[in-house]
Amino acid sequence: MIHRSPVFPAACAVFLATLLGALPFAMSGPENADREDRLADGQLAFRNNCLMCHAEEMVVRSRLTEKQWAAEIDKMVGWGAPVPPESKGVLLEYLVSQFSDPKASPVGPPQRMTLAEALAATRPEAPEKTQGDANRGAALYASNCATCHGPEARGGDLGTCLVEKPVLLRPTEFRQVLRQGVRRMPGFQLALKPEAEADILAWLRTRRFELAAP
Amino acid sequence: MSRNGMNQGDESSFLSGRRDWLRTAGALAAGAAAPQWLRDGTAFAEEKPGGSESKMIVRCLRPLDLESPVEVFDSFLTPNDMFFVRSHFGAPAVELTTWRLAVRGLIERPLSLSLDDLKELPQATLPAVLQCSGNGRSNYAPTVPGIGWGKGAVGNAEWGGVRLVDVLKRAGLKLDEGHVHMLGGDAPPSAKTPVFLRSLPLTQALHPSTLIATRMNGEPLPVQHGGPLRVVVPGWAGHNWIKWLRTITVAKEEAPGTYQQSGYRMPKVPAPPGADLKPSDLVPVTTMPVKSLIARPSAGARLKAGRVEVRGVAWTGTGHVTAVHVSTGPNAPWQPATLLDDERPGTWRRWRWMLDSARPGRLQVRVRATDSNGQTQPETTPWNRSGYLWNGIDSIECEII
Repeated sequence: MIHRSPVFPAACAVFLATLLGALPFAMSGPENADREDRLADGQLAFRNNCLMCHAEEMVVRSRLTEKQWAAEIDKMVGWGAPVPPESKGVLLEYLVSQFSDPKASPVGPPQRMTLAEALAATRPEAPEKTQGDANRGAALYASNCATCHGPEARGGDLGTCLVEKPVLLRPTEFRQVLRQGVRRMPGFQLALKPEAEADILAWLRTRRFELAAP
Repeated sequence: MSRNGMNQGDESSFLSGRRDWLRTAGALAAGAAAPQWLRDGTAFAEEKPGGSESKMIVRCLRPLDLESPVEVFDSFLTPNDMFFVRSHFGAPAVELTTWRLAVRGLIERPLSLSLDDLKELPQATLPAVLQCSGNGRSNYAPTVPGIGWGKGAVGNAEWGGVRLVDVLKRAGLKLDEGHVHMLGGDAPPSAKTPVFLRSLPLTQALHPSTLIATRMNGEPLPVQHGGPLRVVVPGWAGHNWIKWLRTITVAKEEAPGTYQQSGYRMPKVPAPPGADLKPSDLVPVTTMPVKSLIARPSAGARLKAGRVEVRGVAWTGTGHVTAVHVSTGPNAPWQPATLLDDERPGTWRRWRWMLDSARPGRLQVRVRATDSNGQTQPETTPWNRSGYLWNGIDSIECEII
């Protein structure tokens, strides 16, 4: 099931946020309870919608004004970020509360890494062959994945583009995401057999990013 | 791999300056353990502890944006594994594809070139500075959206490949004026996200130093740097150096879309925050302004009193660097540094200056470059809303002990 609606009960959102990590904006008193709920909802909207494409540090290390954050949200929604209209307000409130004032949410110096360490997360573990059947995969993709990732896998309302993405070179990770889900994506462990996973991967690997000639 | 491969296509005009950087590249290829700056023989007393200089500064892990620590700029060529990394949508899975380059649009013969086809064209090799247009963005106040680069979204490499003009000639150009659209293999995350489509004016595309690179510092062009094919436009900022190049289209007009029509533009005259700018007030960001950086000593270094060599690099977008001056405080006189390397457009020159400091205490070291157009670095760069082309004077603080 996909939680398209942002209107989780606030208590549920707080519970989820607590699971995800302590909220950095603990407050007390009934007058703050509403704001605390909104910030929790905003944080959830941030995790669900922004982290699909961006690593957290890109936002966490930014310091922008409310006007700049509002413009960023509008730009990203225009570019396909699936922030529901009714969540834009809480998302903005959350971003402004944490990432406007230079003194709020202080961050340490940036992480340091060798290139090899950084690439380990994105490049192939070892070019792994898969035994899938792309033709069968096309049909399986259409019935299981296309609703979110788009009919051509170029990205849809809720899922990102999968065409020529490095995860296709990492079958172990691909299978893990497919089985367990990630962020708003549900796990397909019960719906797809291992052969079906391999078939979908085989079809996705045939897709190419191209533009029609003008 | 190779040194031999690297020599193919040399132009005699810069043979004289090559030995130093060949040696550097050779040492890199050999995977020498000690960094070049440690082997250069200048002793730095009590440098900051820790081996972080051999690690990249992570600006963003997804998509991957890595910045070089400035100490890396203590050599003519920047090693591939210490060269900054930037992309809009992340590297595509190039291993899935037998790469081909499509050439289409207003040409006589549409082409689909394999990597082997490109090897049959005349090969060219040149050193050139690649700098992200947002390098130094973190210096702008008020802050602006975008990756908060410090000093190191820049590097100098020896790029090898074919000239774009040779590819266009083979396709048979049909026009004298126009634009070359360039598209890479990095698909945007959503069908609603604009593709990273850019264009070069035909005059720049036909310039003999504009390349389609297949090699970097003597190695096959690494995927994180745009391999197997990336455009090289010496003197122009990095957003024109399209990575994972897959399609070039010759057209009368500039490329359509966000990344050409509204992104990577700056006001013709500086405009303060909040200014209401019309599209006609903006021009595309093309060549880089003159700039210099201090590579050694490191910021915060503790140095023994006496003579210490201060070193770094300086470059510019058009022409070449003619002078570098160093001063030891906001009101101290500017003193000329010694320039190394050739007066060659597109690449950088190293500079050296001997600091002779007897008095213990904190010391600011500042550097300023001037180019053959008479342009000198400003104290700070006028603010612009996207934080492009910072070239304010670089400075570090050290402590003399």
